[in-house]
Amino acid sequence: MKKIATLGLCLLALNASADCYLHSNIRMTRQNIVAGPTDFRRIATPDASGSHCVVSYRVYIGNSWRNAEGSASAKTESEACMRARDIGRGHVLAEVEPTQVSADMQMVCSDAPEIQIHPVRVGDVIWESETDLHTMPAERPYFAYKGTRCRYFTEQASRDNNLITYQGVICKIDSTPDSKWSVVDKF
Amino acid sequence: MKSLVVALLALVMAGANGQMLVYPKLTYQQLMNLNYGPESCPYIDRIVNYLETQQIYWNVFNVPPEMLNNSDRLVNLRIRAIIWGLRVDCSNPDRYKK
Repeated sequence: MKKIATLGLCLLALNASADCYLHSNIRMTRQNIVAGPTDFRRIATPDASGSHCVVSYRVYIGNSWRNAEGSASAKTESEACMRARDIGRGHVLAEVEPTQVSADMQMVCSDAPEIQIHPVRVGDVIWESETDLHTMPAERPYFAYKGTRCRYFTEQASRDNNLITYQGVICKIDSTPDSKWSVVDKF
Repeated sequence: MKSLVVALLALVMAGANGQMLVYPKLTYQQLMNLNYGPESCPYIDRIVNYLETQQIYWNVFNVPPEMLNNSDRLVNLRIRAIIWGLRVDCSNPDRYKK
């Protein structure tokens, strides 16, 4: 009985553990960002100057989506969050193994569900960075369709030992920066 | 090689006499050789209707690609790629200009 209780506590601790990242030294510039910033999520708290806002978002650097984060303080929440979105204030976050942690590292931990690429279906409502960019750079820019902002995506899958590349289109649900996207076609 | 390219607009307009149109089913090779240009944009709704009719003929209309065998998946991919190519090009004429 004691063993079962111990095992239960261990499992509980594993489930409750947050994903932690380090502030990396990768500098963000408009030149090295292929796509984004996108998928903004923010946490604002009162502070001495008025409001402190931490914004986490996603940027496509090299050939993958990366987590990034920026923060700022201002008199109002909206002003603080607007400043925090500035990529000049942002840090790319690097995944960290618990064994590598030392006391002087600046870490970011979150219990929020991690955004990652996964298979999607028509009608799904997703974050933009849950799909990969099109494999052809010429097809990566956003386009307008019926008054909304859309882009092509590609999805790799394996079937009968063959690699298949599906294509599709996602469109932004509304024009706010925090908006999610809808999968409108996949083929 | 260029003579193999079938002008999509010509196919769609061939039966356009104001009556109900019954389009013939295209072969796999004809679908692969379809082509379009900016002159297609004023007729985009008719062309999309034509292409979706081809999807129905091929039993691939509104079928998730994961459910299709490989040759049907390629047919569906070709047709949907043309439809979206038209939608994107006609709504965003400067998209590919440097």
